[in-house]
Amino acid sequence: MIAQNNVWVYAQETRGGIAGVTLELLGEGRRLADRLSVKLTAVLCGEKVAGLTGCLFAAGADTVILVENPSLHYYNAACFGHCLEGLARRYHPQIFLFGATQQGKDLAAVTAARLNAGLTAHCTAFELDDGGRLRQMVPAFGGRCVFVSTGFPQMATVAPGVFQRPDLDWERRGEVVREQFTGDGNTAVKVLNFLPSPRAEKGLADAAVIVAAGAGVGGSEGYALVEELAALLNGVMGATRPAVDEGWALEEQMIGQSGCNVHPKLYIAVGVSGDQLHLSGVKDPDVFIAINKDRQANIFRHAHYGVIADFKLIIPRLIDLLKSRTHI
Amino acid sequence: MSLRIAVLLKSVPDPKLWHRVTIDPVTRTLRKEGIPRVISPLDRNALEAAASLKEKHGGEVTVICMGSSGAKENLREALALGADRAVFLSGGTFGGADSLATARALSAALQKLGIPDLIFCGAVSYYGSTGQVGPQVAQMLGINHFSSARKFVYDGNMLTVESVTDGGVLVARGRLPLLLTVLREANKPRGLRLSETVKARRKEILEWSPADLPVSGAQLGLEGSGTRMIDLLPPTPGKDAEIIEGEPEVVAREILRKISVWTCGTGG
Amino acid sequence: MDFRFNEEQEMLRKAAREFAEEVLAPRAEEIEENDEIPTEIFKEMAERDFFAVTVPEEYGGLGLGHVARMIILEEISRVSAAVAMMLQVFHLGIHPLITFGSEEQKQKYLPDLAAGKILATVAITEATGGSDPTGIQTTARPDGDGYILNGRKVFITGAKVADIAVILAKMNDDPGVFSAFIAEKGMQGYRSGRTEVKMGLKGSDTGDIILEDCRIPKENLLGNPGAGLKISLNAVGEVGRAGMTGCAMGLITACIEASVSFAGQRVLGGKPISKLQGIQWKLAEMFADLEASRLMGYRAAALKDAGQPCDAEFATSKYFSCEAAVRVAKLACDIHGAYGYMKEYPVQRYLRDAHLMIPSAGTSDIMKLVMARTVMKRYAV
Repeated sequence: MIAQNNVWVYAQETRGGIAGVTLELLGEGRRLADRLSVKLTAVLCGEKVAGLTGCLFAAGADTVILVENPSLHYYNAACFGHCLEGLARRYHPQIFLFGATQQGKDLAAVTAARLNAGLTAHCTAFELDDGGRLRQMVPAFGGRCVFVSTGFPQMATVAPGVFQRPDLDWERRGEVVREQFTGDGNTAVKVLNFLPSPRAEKGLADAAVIVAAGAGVGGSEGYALVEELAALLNGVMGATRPAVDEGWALEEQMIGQSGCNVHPKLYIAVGVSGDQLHLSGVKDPDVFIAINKDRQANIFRHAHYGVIADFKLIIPRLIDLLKSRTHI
Repeated sequence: MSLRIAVLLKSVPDPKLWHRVTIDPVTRTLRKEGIPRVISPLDRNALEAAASLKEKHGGEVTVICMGSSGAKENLREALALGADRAVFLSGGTFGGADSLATARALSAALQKLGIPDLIFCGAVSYYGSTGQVGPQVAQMLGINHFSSARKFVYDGNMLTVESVTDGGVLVARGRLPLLLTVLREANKPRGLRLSETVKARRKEILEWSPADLPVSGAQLGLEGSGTRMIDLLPPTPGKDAEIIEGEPEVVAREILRKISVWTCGTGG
Repeated sequence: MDFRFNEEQEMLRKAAREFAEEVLAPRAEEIEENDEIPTEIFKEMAERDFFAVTVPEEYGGLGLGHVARMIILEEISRVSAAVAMMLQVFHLGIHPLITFGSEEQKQKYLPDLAAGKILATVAITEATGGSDPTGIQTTARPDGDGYILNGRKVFITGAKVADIAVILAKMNDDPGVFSAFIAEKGMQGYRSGRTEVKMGLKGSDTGDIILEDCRIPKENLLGNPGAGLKISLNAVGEVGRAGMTGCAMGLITACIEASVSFAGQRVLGGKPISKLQGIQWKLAEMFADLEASRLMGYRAAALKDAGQPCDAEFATSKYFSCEAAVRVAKLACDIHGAYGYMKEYPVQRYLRDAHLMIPSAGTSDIMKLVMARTVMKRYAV
């Protein structure tokens, strides 16, 4: 029997494992649960996913609610939403967190609608006020919005990389509660195929060196120049939304609130204006260099070092120096 | 087969000018005066999807938008971009809505119009982007939906859709009625044509207030929202960047010095 | 007096601006570097119905009038004066057909012109006469039931790309009589000649049209025999001058935008130069020039749309706005200092582009003659 008013984290299964963001949320969820003196529950739905519960306990869950059913093989909003709605109505979690993955965002939205609950998207931090209510922080235009939910459960989505992955304690044990799937399979939608995208050899999320191109890069030619620099530094290319919109960069390379969150050691931003939606995705680099010909650009209030110049004057020289290794 | 198609549209401050938006530290509100409003970029893709489908298979496209009075001109634009008529939800108690209350208003409007065969919206808006309204509207109407669709093919009563999901693309087939949230790569939106702007003048924009909708006022706007913004914190002043001055050659060398730790083992 | 644009006009402006920013702006530098406008640009303008603005609806156009046309030219010129110049001349080539064309001529050419399937221009100027068109040497000799044309037109915008040209020629048998003819690319004896290499308006195709025993069928005589001067002056006077005004307005706006941006960023003595009175005075002068140009231009266009006399008003707006364009472009360069001379910054291009606006569609000196005639008549005691 699960207690009421726990902190819940939706556990997403991806490619046969637990999504990284779930573990990150369990770390944060653990902190919230401890502060509220309640338990932390992970909710896992799928077809054959029982083997993944150990991971969830290792990350800090006290309980795992497990729902297994063939209808839950592929993610579909109808069945998964029905599932979560039933569980939430039964156990009344006070907080329900989802990773802002494609699946997580969709499922959180659908579940919130089913529960007539509010849902705050892309939170970057949580606080508890004196009454134990969850304060949900979302970056906006250089500052931060603070949201609260008007009812329960208090639901929020969080992008991968916002919270730190907790250390996994494989000695930890917890309680698995099996629940039955009570919905009918969704017959109006039939999955025909799943086309996996190739796993990125070196993802942005783990990169130690990132060079990001923004609108100021001006075109695919300029973008190629920045790419050359990234390659010479053994770094990964990132981009801002304008660069993606213009077609020079791919959606997967976008860094920011609705893109990737990164924790590089070295971050070089080229032609990036530095609006908050982008910067919120960059977590405390050791060295942050910005190159932008606009003196007023917001990025100069956040970078460690700034160069106010046209990147076309600086980057080629940097590339030459790197190639000839005449630097100190 | 004549299709009834709806497009959910959001009017947003022009994303190209967002750097002009500031937070007033005293009133703790957003300052966005003078920034023109545009159709949220991905909603252009949604509108294009709807218009192309209608032009190919016959039918009617209705655009629905909830917003302040400034959004009306964006609706007129939508009428010049393939929509046949528009429904504008504006005024009083619609205001202050979060995505839940917005979804309720839009769903109610769709109920009043009669649930269409297909509903399109952008996967995410460019202002307060949650990406939640589409799936929530589908849920409230009790219809299936596909999020982040990059491609779809219509045949008779069914749609085959490619949706971008975690780790890859899901190919699925669904029976109408359906709601799709679309990505940028779904299509190339048409540009405004003068002949269409002229025709748009004569198309209808229905204006509905909360009282016109089959939903209780308490479910809408600020009152009906499931979340509430209780504070807007202005930016915490950080430490400004140390500017590296000098001729490009000098600057490049200085940069190299700062990143020397990561340049070992690099170079041609 | 309501000086505001209405909702429909604002929508037209939005459509033109969208084209200018999304299709044209990314290619403006390429056009400047290659001194060529890609045909896709004309295609995009055609798709958006920019050629149909003044063509009557019954001939496949939109019949939106000359205020609408000016809005479109203004928006395009803000991004590329060269493209705006070409579009304005295409409209100019269409105009004589609308005003003086026979029903057959209208049916034959206007629908394709409105759709941008064919492009038109007007060929009046020659080495021996521009400001004074009566100095032209191109002759038209009756031959059978048609005419044989001989001569060379110079400084014709669209000489290479135009599919049809309205040619002014003098009748061989009576030196004082002029007629207008519609010549088509592909007619024997019609060809485009050298293309000029210009200081500015790079990309706009300016060159010669050469007629060597070019046979024009009788159905291609435009208007009545002997009406050539009237037709030419009407076209250039109203549509040409209006077009140049539209081009000038857009360019002036671009100069102001570049100057405000630069002045806000250029820091001297610890503050941006926009804080200095000297700079503010220049910006004020530029603003006054823009406001005056726009008011004069749109007012003249509104008179034309209302079917009222507008010859002097267009002469005044053309004279003022084109001189202002050069004046404002120089001020913009001054604000930029030495940076204004560098190709990296757009203002040097605006200055080079602005200069050709003065002699186009009638020089400032000619405009003043037109204005003087009106002054002396209107204010006679």
